[in-house]
Amino acid sequence: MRSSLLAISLALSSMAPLAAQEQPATTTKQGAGKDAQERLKITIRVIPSMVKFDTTHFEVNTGSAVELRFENGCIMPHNLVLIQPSAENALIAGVNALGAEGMQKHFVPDVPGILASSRLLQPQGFEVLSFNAPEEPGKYPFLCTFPGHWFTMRGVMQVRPRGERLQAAQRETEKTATVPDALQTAGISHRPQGTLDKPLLMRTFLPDPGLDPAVFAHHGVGIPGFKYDPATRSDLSQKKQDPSTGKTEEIPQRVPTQPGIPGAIAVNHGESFSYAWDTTECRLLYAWRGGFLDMDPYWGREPGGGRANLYIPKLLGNLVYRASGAAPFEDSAGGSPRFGGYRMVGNAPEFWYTAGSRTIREQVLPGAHGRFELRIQVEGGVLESPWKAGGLDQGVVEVHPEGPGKWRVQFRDRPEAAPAPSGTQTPQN
Amino acid sequence: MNFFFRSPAYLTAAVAFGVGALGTRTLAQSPAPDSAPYSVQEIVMPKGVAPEIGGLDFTPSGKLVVLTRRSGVQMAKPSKDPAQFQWQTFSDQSLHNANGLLALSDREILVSQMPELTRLTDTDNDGVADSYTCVAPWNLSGAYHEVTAGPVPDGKGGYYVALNTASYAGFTMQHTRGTFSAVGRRGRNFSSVPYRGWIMHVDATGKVEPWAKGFRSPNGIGIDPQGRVWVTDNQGDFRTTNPLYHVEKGKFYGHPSSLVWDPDFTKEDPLRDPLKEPMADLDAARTHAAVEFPYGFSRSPAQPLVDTTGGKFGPFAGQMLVADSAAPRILRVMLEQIDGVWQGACADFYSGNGLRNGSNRMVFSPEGTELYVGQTMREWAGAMEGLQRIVFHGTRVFEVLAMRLQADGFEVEFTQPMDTGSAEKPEAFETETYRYEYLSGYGGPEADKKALPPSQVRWSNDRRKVRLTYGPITAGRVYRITIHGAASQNQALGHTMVAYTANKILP
Ligand SMILES: [Cu+2]
Repeated sequence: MRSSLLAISLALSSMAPLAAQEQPATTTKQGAGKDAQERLKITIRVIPSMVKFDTTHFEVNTGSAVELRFENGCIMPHNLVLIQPSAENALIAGVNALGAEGMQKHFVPDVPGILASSRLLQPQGFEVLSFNAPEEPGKYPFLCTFPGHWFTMRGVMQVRPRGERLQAAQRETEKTATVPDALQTAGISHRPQGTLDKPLLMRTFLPDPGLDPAVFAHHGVGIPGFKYDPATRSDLSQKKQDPSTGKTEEIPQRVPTQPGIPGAIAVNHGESFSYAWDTTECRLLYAWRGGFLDMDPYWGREPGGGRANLYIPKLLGNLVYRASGAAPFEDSAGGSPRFGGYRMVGNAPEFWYTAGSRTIREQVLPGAHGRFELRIQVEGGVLESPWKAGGLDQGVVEVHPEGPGKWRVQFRDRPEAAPAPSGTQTPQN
Repeated sequence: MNFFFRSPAYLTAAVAFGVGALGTRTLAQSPAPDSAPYSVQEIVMPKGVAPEIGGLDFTPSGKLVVLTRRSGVQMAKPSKDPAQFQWQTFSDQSLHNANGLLALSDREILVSQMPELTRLTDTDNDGVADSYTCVAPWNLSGAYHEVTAGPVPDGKGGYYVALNTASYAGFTMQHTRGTFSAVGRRGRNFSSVPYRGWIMHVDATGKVEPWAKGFRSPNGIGIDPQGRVWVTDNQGDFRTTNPLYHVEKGKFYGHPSSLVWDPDFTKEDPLRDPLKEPMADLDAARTHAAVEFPYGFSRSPAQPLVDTTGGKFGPFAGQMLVADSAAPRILRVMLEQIDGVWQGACADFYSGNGLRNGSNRMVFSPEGTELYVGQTMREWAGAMEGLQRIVFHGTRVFEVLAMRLQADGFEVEFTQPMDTGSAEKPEAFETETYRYEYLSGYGGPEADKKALPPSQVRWSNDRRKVRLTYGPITAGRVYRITIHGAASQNQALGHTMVAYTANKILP
């Protein structure tokens, strides 16, 4: 990957103060004037003591020549690693695997997906990275791979198609950045995880990864609204003129809905298994492997810990199960299931709810060999399992009766080729 | 490490007004820093816990329970050293934007989170909650703004909870928890699912009842020893300024969106749109705030808390404190009932001097000498979070103690006798009067404002009370007095501004 991008890493680290090096001699600068003029230049600095880059977003066009100057004005050592859009998990795993060799390797492991990387810069050092932007438009993350820094020290290079207009880089000033984010101060990751034995339970908004609408039988259907001006007490619209007729039209300003689930519980057993259990439908909604949640869209990363404005976390990894069809214990009288709560059995939650006269308990457990398990216990009279092999969602492979009203239902992973849909959309104003 | 904050700025400010333009004769001074009656201490929370405080309470056995918005529930028996609390994790689960707490015992606590009121129980007595029971579910359209305040106990085994509306700065989800109303979706702050913008009552059997309506962003609910419910709301649409309401069953408090879920309102037309009601009709139907906080006083009020310490926290027993989540300030409210209606005055209780911005929740220590204050603010004012306590040192407090309506003016009472020759002249009581119009837009001005110097200043014999004569007081106006040059034993008045909301006047 790296070679295809002509990444020329020009290491010009120096211990001299930055001010003394306004014009560092780089080979690009010494080269033919015209070529150097056309290079897109961007400088990224470290905000001292904040474990943050001062630039969190910059844009380039596909294939353009980029000269990225990275300056470390901090008292800690830092590096900058630019990667392919989905390469972060592999990169972090690679950094962790470096172990004692980390320092020597500048915390840059030999893993695929690295587009460009700096050395580990000591305080007051700098380096210029020259490379050609990828030919594939997209969002390319950059981060510092010094252990622990990647939680807060990160940004995105947005690659836009050749010729498309670029937006200005987003910078954090020292002034705004000096208000610490509580999560950062507390050392809480925006990508929290539990472990196999001690799962992490989070109540949060969750994305709808394109579930069968029948699953949401007990939800309301949200429809887009309009921007509203309370002073004039009217929905807001924009005047638009049709150039051919000259007529002016009022276009209402719609606010779209988001594919989210408001009342679910997300549980993570570490890298290997996560699931979403909904307290409105009272059922397992979906399961995924290879990560948990990226909370950035909900928790935000702006200076001061401000929110992002989409509020729905992203799923990390790949879906292996999606519920479909009506709920297995639908009350024949049409009553809605009512969530009762959960109790911790071992370290894992056992959810309980009522549907009509029945009380149902469910526990979801990660399994081996691409399987997971649902343990169900029904009080109040059910003779037959509503789950059938091949039924409901085609993920069920085996149903083991465990006594009256008690079953162990085995699911086989049905991995999906594409990564889990992100669940968020860019708002349309 | 010393976490005391006793800023000398206090002293400087007092001297500055002492030599102000009014030419008062006394150059009063604030108490020397070491004798300031109140000071702030920073409580150190455990590592790995984001100290965004959504709830504070003490268990009957004296453990402080701290609810965080994302990092679960922590407990500790307070120690004298604010950095040495021995914290225990009662729950490490991330509850959804948890913003209200009631500690029933060391093993049982109630928590408000966005989708429900939850009872956390430690059933096996190992110090960690292992059972999470849904006491009452709340509906959500999926907007970040639909947070919950409370619970507060109703004294009969039940609770009151305040449900915020959604904001148009957020989104509605495609799948809503609760029936979606397109009519309710309209508006700046809206109620597209039941019962957003309502105060809810949950009785001892778990029965949920929509109890009072007309709220916008009620991030504070409190109950006084007589069982009266008090709710703060936030300036915005249909909220010209920040109000404090005395809330009673069935009443409407002015923000119309919640009316879509009122069967009386929709009786004849299920699609009746409250935003299309004439302003005059909404105005006539609403119950007015007991206190309209001047916007300069309160930027974003949070929890109201009655001083139940019986004097152990200073001279304000029975008065109400109100946290402000967008300024480093705690307000004090002095209420009275006129013609059956609650109204009264507000002043700063504590401002600056080490207090952080973002105060959200408060609780008195069991001894009553300390007020724990928890902060969280991750919105437009920036991030302000942590846990502090305000300690009362038992020293001399010099403040306004009460402001009472008279037929032709006000009586202002002080906690200490005023020095002879101090605040004698009408100029010492700089007064403005204005009113807040009922407007649909976002916030509003202090309308029809005019200066109103008192025609007469008469001190009581003990020099603790002053009667200010203005002529007839007008109902529906706020009277704001800035007191200049007030001194008692050469000590300057701690907070010099007091504002009275006159809903009713004396006959
Ligand atoms: Cu770093």
